[in-house]
Amino acid sequence: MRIPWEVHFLQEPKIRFTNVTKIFKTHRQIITAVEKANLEIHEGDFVSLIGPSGCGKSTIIRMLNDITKPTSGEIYVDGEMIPQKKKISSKQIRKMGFIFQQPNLLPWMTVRQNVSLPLKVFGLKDEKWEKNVDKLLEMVGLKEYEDAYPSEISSGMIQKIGVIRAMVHDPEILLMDEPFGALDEMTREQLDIELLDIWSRTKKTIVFITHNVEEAILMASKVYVMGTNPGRIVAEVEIDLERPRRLDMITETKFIEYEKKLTSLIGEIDLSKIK
Amino acid sequence: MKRTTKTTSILAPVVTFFIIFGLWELAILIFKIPRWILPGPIAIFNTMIVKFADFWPNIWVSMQTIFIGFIFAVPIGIVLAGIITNFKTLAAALDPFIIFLVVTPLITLVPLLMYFLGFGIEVRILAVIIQSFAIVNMNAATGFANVELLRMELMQSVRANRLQTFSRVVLPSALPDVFTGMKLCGIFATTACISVEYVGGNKGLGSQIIRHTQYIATEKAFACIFFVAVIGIILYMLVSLLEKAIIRWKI
Amino acid sequence: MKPTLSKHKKKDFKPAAIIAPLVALALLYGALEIIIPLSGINRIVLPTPTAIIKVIAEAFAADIWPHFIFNVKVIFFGFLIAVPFGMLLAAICSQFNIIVKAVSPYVILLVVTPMITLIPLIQLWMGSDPDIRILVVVIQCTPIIMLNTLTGFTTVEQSKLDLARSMGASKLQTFIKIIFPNAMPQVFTGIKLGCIFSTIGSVTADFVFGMQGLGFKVQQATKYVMTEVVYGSIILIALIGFILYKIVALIERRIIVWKK
Repeated sequence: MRIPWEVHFLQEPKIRFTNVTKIFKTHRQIITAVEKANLEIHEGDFVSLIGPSGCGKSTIIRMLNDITKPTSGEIYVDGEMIPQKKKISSKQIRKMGFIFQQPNLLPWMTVRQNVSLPLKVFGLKDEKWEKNVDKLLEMVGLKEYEDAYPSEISSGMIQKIGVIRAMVHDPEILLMDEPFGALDEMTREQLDIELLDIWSRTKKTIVFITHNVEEAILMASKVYVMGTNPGRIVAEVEIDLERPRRLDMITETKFIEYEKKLTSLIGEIDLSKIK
Repeated sequence: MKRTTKTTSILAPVVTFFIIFGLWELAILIFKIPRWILPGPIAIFNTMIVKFADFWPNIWVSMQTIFIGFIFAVPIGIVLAGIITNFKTLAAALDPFIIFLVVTPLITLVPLLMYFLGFGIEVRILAVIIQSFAIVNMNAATGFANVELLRMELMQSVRANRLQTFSRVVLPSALPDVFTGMKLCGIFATTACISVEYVGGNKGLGSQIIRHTQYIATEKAFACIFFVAVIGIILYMLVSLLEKAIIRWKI
Repeated sequence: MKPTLSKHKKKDFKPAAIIAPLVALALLYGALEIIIPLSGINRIVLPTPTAIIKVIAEAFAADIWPHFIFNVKVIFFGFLIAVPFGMLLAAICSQFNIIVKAVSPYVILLVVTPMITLIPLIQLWMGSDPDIRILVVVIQCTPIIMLNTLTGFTTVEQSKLDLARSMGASKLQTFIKIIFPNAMPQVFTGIKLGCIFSTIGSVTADFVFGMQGLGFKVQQATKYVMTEVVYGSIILIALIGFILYKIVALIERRIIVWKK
């Protein structure tokens, strides 16, 4: 459901980036990963970040999750700023769940132990959290593998575990860094639809990074297009397609138009690189 | 490279055993090497088995020294490594000292130790600990310092504190290196024990080896050497077994 | 448009790595200088660092240097022989899995057997020629280098070997381009351990053979209660091993550029 722009205007966004810049210094070069990024994401939004590699998409959600700190600018979650020097507060971090691009299950823990990791770290011991683990495992159909080790299951399963691990402590915000990028197309489409289903039921705020334009249009209500050199937000495109989204929408005219528009936006950036 | 079956894995060393010792025995026969220069393996094994009761007291002393020294050296090395890897400047400051300690041959330090602390088994155990903890420390520190960035980021994404990160990610990730350190520690402990016994006192296999060599009881000397080797191998194998029991996952 | 990728060549130099230990050393030195006289320990038992340095410096040219250089010679030569020898043996063995399985326990056995037990026997067989000590170092050093190198050669990821096969690489090419580089970290670990073992081996040989070397000096000085010489010699021995270790570490950093 689209929120009327007036309400948008009045309501404090769930996530806000104000002039956020991130510069990386290695001993060989200086890289501006993100330059003066401004973002406003509202509660319950499904937002996608797309762009060529190296455009700073990962950096943006990593700064949000306090894996790295911005060089300048401010980031707000629910109106509260993430500290610029100190670690993020536990209250704020518990609102977020992060899903990595590469499979990031700890090899020495079973599937169940991996899923329960955030609970252990946050100190959530209540019976209801254990039930949540069971529920999530059943939701992705992996309950029978809960005692297996990551080396014993397929990469599709590993990614699913990564997703539910980020959800186990019931965060309000999900940050997903190209979560299905390494999977084959069929598994990816399946997981996309499952994710949309979860989103429509739980109304979480989702920031979804992908390099796949089709996927971005399929999933998101708003797409941010980013460019490289320096990394920056180049365009914001509202995706006005009806919900719930279906895979067969990919062939509809409106969809294809969005695809053309976004691809050309990305293409423009690429051309400017050659200058 | 062809994969070998389990039977071949067990058979191969056994066959080699017979080949090595067979050739040895043969060489003695052919070159008519006198017993006091180089006894044959059959004679040595014979002595080891027949006179076992005579050897036992010294075997027991050496075993105690090695095993107790080992059991203390390992946790000291690991804990120390855990501490210094969490404080980079401390690690940088101590690193050369630890290398120095590892490199210093124990036999040079033993007379001093014995002067300060006497001749009892405790001194020898202490010497073993000194020579062997550093190698565990070095390997454990390498393991603790080389955790995959991705895993550390995972802990960052849930804002885990130092202790949580250490116990859930750093330590398990470093276990292969820790076990390598432990195996080496076993080797160093064995060598250290024998060196100490060699240089000071009259207990333990090390002291017996020198005694037998002086009296040209070469068979007995070799028997002692073989016993030492057996103790070392047992310790090595125990660590390997422990490793297999604990590391049940594949990276 | 402002260029944002500038080539910024900074030397990969960490001052803390050098300053911190020097500070620690200075602190230790200072502490010992103060505590030792205060505690009233006899200088025969534990001399102050300054006393050690003074005695060693005075005796250096005549008394210490020849032994020092002797050990340096024995350790370096023994080490330089053991490294390629150990690696060559490992390379040969790694070609046949059966040989690996057959030989590994005995290599471990060799590593575990303390040299101190074998040296008297070596002396018995081969006499007391100073160069025999180089042989001792080689025997002490080679097994551990071979063991680690062997581990490095035999634990290559199958996917990398498959890659080589898919490109039609010959056995030699596969070895040079894939197996060898992959083994480098393990090989260097073995070589570093070799440094340690060669120092220990050389000094042990001094003890048993006598007459030359810093190990012998330690024995002699202990007998004549020249404690400063004892401590000083021990430190010099450790210094040789330490420098050797650091040289290897430096070479390692140059060769293994792809640290995790």
